Amino acid sequence: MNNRALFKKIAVGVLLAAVLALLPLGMALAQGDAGSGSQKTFLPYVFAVYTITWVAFFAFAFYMSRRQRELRREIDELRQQRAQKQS
Amino acid sequence: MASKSTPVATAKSGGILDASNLKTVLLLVSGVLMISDLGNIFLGMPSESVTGNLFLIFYFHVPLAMTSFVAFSVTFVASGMYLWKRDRRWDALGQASAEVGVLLISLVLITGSIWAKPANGVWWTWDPRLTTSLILWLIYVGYLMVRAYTPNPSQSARFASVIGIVGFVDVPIVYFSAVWWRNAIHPNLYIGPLAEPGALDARMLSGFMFSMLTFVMLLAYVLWERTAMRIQEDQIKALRNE
Repeated sequence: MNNRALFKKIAVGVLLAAVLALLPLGMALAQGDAGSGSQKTFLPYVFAVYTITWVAFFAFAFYMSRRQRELRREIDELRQQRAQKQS
Repeated sequence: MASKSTPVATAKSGGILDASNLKTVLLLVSGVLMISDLGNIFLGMPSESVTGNLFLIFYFHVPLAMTSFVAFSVTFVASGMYLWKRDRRWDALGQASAEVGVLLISLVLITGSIWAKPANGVWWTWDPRLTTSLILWLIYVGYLMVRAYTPNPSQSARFASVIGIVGFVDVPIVYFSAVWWRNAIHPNLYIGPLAEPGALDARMLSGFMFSMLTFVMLLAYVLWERTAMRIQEDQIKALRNE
């Protein structure tokens, strides 16, 4: 699988995860439990917080791994250019 | 930072304790901690008497905030060291730490907003802690913008270092804001030197400490990786200019 295809697949994954993160929040708002007492469950808000946090971390990690691949490619290109100049 | 070659950038596969192995170990430990932390919070932490299971947000929101303070402290120290030593690796560490800090403080603002909606009925209010946190976010976004838009690299590093030092003043202000300007949104300090004794019971405190450890390990891994990348970027620029 080439890098671009992999990138697309991971980007779709991240987007889906973001939607999943926002779903519980939307459900909570639709239920209208804002500002209510302690008897109601607030789990959709809790899940939204946890999902958003991990999605953000994984997105950042993904950005770093992609950038690192680009840097490695650039270094290889520069090495090749140098070798060609020297020969 | 004393030697000229960084262990991160120049590590070769040698002994068991070389840099790339250590980084992999750090990543694995962070992953295990992440999963254990989720299990610990959802299965082991008690609900709070007033807000019920909404309080579970505390175990992410507060460690995120504390870890962002750690990241900005690293930027502060690295900026000072860069201005003193003029070593680009300190600058790389400062930038990497500011980037991660901005990510963390953004998450603090978002998660705090999600917590505030069911707890107080509003997404946002100009409470002193929220306002000072937003100012902190703006300062470090400014730091990154100065880096992005100043064409001369050494000038950019110098300007950013000054912002990294001056901007750090807001970090203690964010923490102490809840004491200096007491209000209903952040009535108590649960953690830190000014926390009220018994604000958290032993189980909650252990859950918080575990979460804190998880985020600090993650911060260490991400910082290491990002700093190494920044150094590589500098090396590529230097090679291109040769």
